[in-house]
Amino acid sequence: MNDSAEQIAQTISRHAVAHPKRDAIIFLERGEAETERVTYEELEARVASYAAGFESEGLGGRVVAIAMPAGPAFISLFLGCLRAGAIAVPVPLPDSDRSTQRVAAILHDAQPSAVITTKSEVPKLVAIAGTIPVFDHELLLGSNTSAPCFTADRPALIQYTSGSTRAPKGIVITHANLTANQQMIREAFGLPIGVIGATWLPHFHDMGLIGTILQPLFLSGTAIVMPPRAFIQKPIRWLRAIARYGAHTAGAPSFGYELCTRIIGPDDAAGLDLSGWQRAFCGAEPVRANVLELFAQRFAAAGFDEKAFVPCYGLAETTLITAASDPGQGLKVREIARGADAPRRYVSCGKAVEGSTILLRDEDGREATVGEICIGGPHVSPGQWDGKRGEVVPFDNMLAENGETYLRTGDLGTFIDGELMVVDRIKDILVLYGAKHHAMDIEMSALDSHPDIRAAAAFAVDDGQRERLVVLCEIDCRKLATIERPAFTRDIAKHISEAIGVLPTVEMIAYGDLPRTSSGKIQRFAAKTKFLSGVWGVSNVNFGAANSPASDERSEQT
Amino acid sequence: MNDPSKLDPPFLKEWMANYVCGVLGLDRAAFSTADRFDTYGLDSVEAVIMAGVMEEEFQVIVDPHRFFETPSIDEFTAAFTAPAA
Repeated sequence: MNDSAEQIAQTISRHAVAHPKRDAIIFLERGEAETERVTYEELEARVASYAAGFESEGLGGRVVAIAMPAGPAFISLFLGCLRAGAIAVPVPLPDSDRSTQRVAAILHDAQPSAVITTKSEVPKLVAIAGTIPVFDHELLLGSNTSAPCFTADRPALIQYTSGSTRAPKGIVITHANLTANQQMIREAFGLPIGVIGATWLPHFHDMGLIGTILQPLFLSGTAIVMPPRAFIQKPIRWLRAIARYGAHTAGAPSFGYELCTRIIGPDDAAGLDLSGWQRAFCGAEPVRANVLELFAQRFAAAGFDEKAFVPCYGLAETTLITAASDPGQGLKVREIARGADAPRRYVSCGKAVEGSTILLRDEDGREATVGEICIGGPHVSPGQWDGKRGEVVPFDNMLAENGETYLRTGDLGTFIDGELMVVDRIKDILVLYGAKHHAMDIEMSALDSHPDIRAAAAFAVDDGQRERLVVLCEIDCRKLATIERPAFTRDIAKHISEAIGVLPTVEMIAYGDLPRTSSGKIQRFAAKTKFLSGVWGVSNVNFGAANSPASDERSEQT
Repeated sequence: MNDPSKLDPPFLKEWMANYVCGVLGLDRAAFSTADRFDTYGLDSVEAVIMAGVMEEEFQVIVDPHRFFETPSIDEFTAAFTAPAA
């Protein structure tokens, strides 16, 4: 590890000296009018003050959960936490049953020394946190002290990634990981110093925090920030912010672009000026060619240049980004036929970013044309957080080769003309509306919903626009003949929707019909293939014939 | 702007029913405005999107949380258009 690398909180200090009056953050609380502007000088003062508060409360070097709404206070607090050498665990605000469960599960796993939140949220967090002390962030503002000295290989933050509430997984990102990946993003996107970015992505997730908040700050630029809800409620707010502030870079998962095209009509689109938007990155879930093409078409009249698209690939275990298309290239779409299935269109995610190595390997670790994407480089996390022991545990899915280690991502990819195409997911994680969900959580929720359900398989099916959740539930043959199917499936769908926030298509099948391994484990991938083949005679008409899953060239793990 | 009590409840109800049926592909004739949102598939993301479309359509501010507090079209419409206390 490189101990001399400047850490992100120190970078802010440098910018505050060089550009004290430049705007670091512009916050649009409802996505429209400006609610707060923070210059680098002001940001530096707040960061230093929070850092002092962490130290005086004895939290320097400790794990600290941060449950804050989007905005400058969260950003200052997060950077103050890092400057004090504390390890930040960004979590959502517990504003629904689901987020409350998630925060509780994260706190249980991470075992932080404190939870920092806003005054109004303190009672709610106290109820969740149990014996962990909960602080109002305003009481943490202290007087400036000197920055502590710590090495770059120390953890800076723990990123809880998957939507799993039963088995949350905290990815440890070191200060060196953060700095390395900031540099990678900058080079891959070709971003200028002083860049302006506009974002609505959740600040407690890697893409929002690392890609859209820290990146402009790393480059002494300006982050235009609005909460996710402001965008989802009126997607045009994001595009208006891009136009109004002349944002050079802004991005989202495919779902964000799809929502813009769905909600914003041609007349409203034509009233925007998006000609300054140079880097429209897209990642975090499969990059969909048709969604981005429609977006480019709809917003061409607003001056949007389709060459601005930068499809990219990454995951929390690699801090954020690991591959990206060349800036200015736009979409490169290829048809790939896999097995006996009809060819499908895939978007190139470009080359490995500078400093990152991508290998494709089969299950036995041999080179493969279509294989599991394995990643090496200084942006790869050292492992997972073990809160009970208070230490980092290396990932068990590492590939060792020629003295180097590579992270096995669980994603299946291939190279065409040296560019990465992500063709499928091996791991059992579904991405719906940009949020990750563990298949197991959804299946457990189905099992909890009714005692007659014996087993379940959850998977996502592409309907051409987005991923739709399908849950197949097995019940006894005799019961299957007597139940009133519409009401039964509706109740189960409702139960799952309440648990995860996404309404699934539920289908009932006879017990024993789901494909299983020899050890009895449900094979979700094979179940999806069987579902799409129509063999059960259940409704898959909504998903279209083009949605064949990747062929079963590999066997599922037993 | 932003006086929901001036909205006509039956009109708002009909608008919401048509919107929901359109987005979710439901049969309007078989749809009841008394059903809870989550029973027919208005999940949290779609609810927030609907709040945004309603703001545009009716020039009122709609806090999506209200859909969770009054989780059917009938309940929501009654509460939303009630004169402020």
